[in-house]
Amino acid sequence: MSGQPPFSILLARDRDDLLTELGQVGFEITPRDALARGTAVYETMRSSLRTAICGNEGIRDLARDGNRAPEIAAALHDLLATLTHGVPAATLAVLLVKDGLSNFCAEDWTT
Amino acid sequence: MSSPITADIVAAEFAKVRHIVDDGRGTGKPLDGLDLDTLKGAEVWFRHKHLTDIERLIKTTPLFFKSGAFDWAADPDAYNDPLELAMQRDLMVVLSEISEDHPDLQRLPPVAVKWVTNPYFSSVCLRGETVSFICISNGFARFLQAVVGTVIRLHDVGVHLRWLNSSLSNYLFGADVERALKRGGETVDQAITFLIDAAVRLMDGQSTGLPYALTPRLVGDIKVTSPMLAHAYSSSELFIVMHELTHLLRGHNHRRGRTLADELAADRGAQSLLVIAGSQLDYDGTFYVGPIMFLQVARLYDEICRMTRLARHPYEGELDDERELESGIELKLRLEAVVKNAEKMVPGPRGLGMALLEETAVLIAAVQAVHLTAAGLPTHFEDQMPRILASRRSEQHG
Repeated sequence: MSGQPPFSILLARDRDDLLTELGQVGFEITPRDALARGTAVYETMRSSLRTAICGNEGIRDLARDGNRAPEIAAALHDLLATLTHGVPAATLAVLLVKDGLSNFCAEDWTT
Repeated sequence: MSSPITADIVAAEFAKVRHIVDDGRGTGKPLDGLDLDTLKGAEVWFRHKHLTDIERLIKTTPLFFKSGAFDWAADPDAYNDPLELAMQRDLMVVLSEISEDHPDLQRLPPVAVKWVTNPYFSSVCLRGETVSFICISNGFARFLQAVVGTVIRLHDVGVHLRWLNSSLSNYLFGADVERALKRGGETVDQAITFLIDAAVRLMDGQSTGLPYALTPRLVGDIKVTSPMLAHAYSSSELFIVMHELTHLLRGHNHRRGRTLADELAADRGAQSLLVIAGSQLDYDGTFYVGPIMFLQVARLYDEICRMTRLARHPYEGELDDERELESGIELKLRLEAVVKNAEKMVPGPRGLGMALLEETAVLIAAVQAVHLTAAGLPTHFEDQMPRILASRRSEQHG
């Protein structure tokens, strides 16, 4: 994760700061603010990558193993980095962890 | 020459950035205009013509044949939708007209226009590993379709009211729309209500658009009476493509955040590229209609969203209100700038830009009037706005 601070530091950052960072991806022609755009990007990515994230057994096992947020974020980062380009994968991974993977994947992980 | 970029490479790169803008929730074709069902086989002709144009451009333009960076564009498999093909052809036509030595071309990556099915009012430019993608959203196009459909519906009313005064010109049926709004009636109520609801649906992440095909009218009577409105879709979309292309040509850096200066520069650059497009492509009035229509449609959407949010959460989000006001001001500044640019760049009819600006503002005024009436304030169209409000209230409570 070159160029990104350690996950423990990212995990301590304010959620809006992280979303604002996501809002800087690419150019958008309409004048939305970075926070609003970051929120939209985050929601879109959560939805489009859900199957890949929740279907990953390594991440599921880590998440079930208790309070290991930095490790889960690191594993998510590695997965997201292979699936995406141009987004700060660590930021996205930390947001997913902060918002709770168990809830996000509840449907897939209860079966 | 480096290795040519193939359609498979483009597809693989797009798969990695698509997640940013498209969660696959949107459905349907971008517009009804290029659908086989509405044009009965014209799509086959359309694909052939545009692919032939692209093949010719690749063979004859040094920018393309020296690098192989656009070879993929002649492959039919590179396109998921006829709109992508049309916009890609237009983009390459414009690029082929820029001098080979122009310094901006040196930094230009291969660029692909992509259609994304998200339901948002959002068109973006994303950088892949080697290819950059200009993504036009289904949500934007469908709202544009709702706007054009509303204009035509009001024109159908206003055309019979030409004895009523209007201060507007009628290039885009602005005068007819104003007359219809002044006169009011059930059709007008329904048209404005439909428009507001289309924006609110989009704002809530739901798909929107007209429940009927506009194409038969656009290629029929509207093409004769208002060629500019008939080309409103392609003009606005072409402006988006040229705006994003300018960001790439100028090497703007999105990581430092979008600035008003960058946006104004991209608008101005897009307009100069539209001058080239206008000389090479058969789009009547694109140079004027593209930027003005796009920015006014964005303002209309902005206005409806702002008032809807305020109505839903009247005591929350002061900061959001501030941001939204800034957004509205930015759109207005950009609009004023594109009108001024237009007057300088093209020796068209005097005051055409301002006339189109005023014509396209009439729908914004109609929407504002609905909101002003809700607040008990007088409006330009006050006779009929209470009815629209009453029908909206009964829908919401019913």
